[in-house]
Amino acid sequence: MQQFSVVLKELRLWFESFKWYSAIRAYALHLLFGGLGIMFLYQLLSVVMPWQSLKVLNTLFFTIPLLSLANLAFLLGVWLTLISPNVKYLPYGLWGRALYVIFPFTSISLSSLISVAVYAFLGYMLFKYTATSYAEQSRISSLDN
Amino acid sequence: MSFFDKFKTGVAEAGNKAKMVVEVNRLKMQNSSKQNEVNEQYQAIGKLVYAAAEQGSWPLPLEEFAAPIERIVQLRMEIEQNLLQIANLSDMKVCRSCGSSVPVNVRFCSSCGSTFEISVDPIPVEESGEDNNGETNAGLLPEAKSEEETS
Repeated sequence: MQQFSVVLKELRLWFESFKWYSAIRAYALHLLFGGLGIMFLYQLLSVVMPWQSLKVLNTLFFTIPLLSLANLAFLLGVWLTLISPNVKYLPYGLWGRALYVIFPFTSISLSSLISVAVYAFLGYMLFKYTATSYAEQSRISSLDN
Repeated sequence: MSFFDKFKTGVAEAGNKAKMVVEVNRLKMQNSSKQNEVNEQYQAIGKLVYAAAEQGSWPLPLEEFAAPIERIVQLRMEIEQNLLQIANLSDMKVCRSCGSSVPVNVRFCSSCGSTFEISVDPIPVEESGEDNNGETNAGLLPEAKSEEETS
């Protein structure tokens, strides 16, 4: 855990060398959970809406393309949250992503199960990390910067 | 109140609840790790006892166990503090008799019926009624005979 804390510190220093980081660091959680929310919205609408609305959904989520943007926002949010003082929220984001992969539980395959296992495991390890004193030290040092 | 105001209030409330849940879960995870460490310390003590029994040097002096015992006491205190913090965050308190969680504003435990009130014995007042600084001790007399525990 101590080594991971050092890695995060170095990663933060590297991110801080980019100008755009200071502009978007405040939106880490918005990107993380916003991206996840849009992905879930797509899944929910696909299940709930009648098939006639498929064209609208395709335009919204694939032509625009909202789903890819949400995916990229989620990934960016993961990295930004990882080095932010709000790292304690990241495990929930990863577990949400694991849930999204198998949602709506109709087409479960080995590949999707592996993805779920990886996201759930990463979430759990991160959850364990956030409960350590190293995470608290890292949080304080990131607040100082 | 317009729909958007209600929505904003609802979102803010949900955000606060989520924050509280995240913090409580983090503290619970911390306690679980600490409890594991306590068990490791127990194991270390057990190994010492076993080795001593095997070599025929039992009983060992208490100093041999000082380090793990000290660590266990420290970890238990930290666990207790975390439990208090969890109770504070979730507006709950833990019954000292049965260990169940009850809302912070109740006077009796709903599980075992034991009271949360502690009686404070009145502090005896000296005859003179004044201390060395000339200040009266009358203020020390408890007006309320009971005080509610916070935990």
